[in-house]
Amino acid sequence: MKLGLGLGVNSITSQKIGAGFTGILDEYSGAAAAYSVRRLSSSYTDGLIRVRRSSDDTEQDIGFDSNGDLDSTALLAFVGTGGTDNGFVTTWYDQSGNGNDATNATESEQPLIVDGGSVAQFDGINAVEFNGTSHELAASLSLSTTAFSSFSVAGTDGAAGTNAQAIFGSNATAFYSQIRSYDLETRISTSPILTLDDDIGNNPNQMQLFASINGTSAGNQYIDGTIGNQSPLDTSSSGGISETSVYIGSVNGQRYLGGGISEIIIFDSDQSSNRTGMETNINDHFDIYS
Amino acid sequence: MAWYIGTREEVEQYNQKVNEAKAYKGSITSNWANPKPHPTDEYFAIVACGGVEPDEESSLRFVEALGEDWFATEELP
Repeated sequence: MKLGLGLGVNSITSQKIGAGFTGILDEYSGAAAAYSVRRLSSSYTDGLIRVRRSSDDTEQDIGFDSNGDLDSTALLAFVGTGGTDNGFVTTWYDQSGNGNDATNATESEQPLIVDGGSVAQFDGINAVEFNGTSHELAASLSLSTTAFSSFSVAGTDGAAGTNAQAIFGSNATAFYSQIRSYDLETRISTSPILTLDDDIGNNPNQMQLFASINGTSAGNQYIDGTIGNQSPLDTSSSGGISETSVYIGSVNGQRYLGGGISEIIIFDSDQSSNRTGMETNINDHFDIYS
Repeated sequence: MAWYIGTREEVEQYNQKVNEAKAYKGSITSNWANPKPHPTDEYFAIVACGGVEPDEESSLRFVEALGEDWFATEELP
């Protein structure tokens, strides 16, 4: 039971704390921020998301079930199962322990988690739905680093074409991870420009696992565990990131993502040695690729 | 997604009207929408809220969707 978040009911139902649960952040610690539709850490016992229901605009935290998955039963009990019942994410809680919750107080900008009485899914996977025109969530996330790693489970509704669609980002000229022209592009610097481009095909309408690693001497990107076939730019002279906020589903009001996001884990460190282990953990849970 | 188009003042007035009608009950949500400027800054758009009409004297124009001219093309690196 979580108490004290203002008006309305706030119960987090069905969570079974401890009992041998091991999350990805128990195995790979040190994340700067972590958002998911599953539980990521045994020490995390609060809600995964806070949801506003369309029927009366009240809000409630929704936690996880005994498997660590989003508690769909509690979610639909709160939002409803009718064709006009929609649930919107007002807060995507940070499970890293750093308190970098991603929120949006503006109704028309909140992404969906219940669509017409059913839990929102993208490519058969529970996901927060972004509409490509206005949906975004913002977190106060301070990053000042050249070493950077991110793991995202996301997909786009259609061909990204030349218009970029951001999974997350702060600044269109400094820091983002986006899909454009079927590439994964991650920019981690203002000057000199560092872009970890990639020529692996991003597949529209398909959930994929995107991993970006900027290490001490080189950077690489991976889609569904496969490394990009375009050599990344030299990262050794990167100016690095210096940001105080990050947006999910956009880059601060532009490059909106049309699609779904199930998980984003961000590190201000080089996770090269943990990459395959993290990818395996994520894929084992979401069953993204074979 | 339907929108209203007008001056900044008009779309802000519409947003205020929706906020008053909604009287949000949640602890996070407190605002209906933010005005979206046209790339030329001549007009602004705001998402239309079903069941809330602009004031009679308002000259806001209703459209079912925004045209492509509302979305500036970026020069990306």
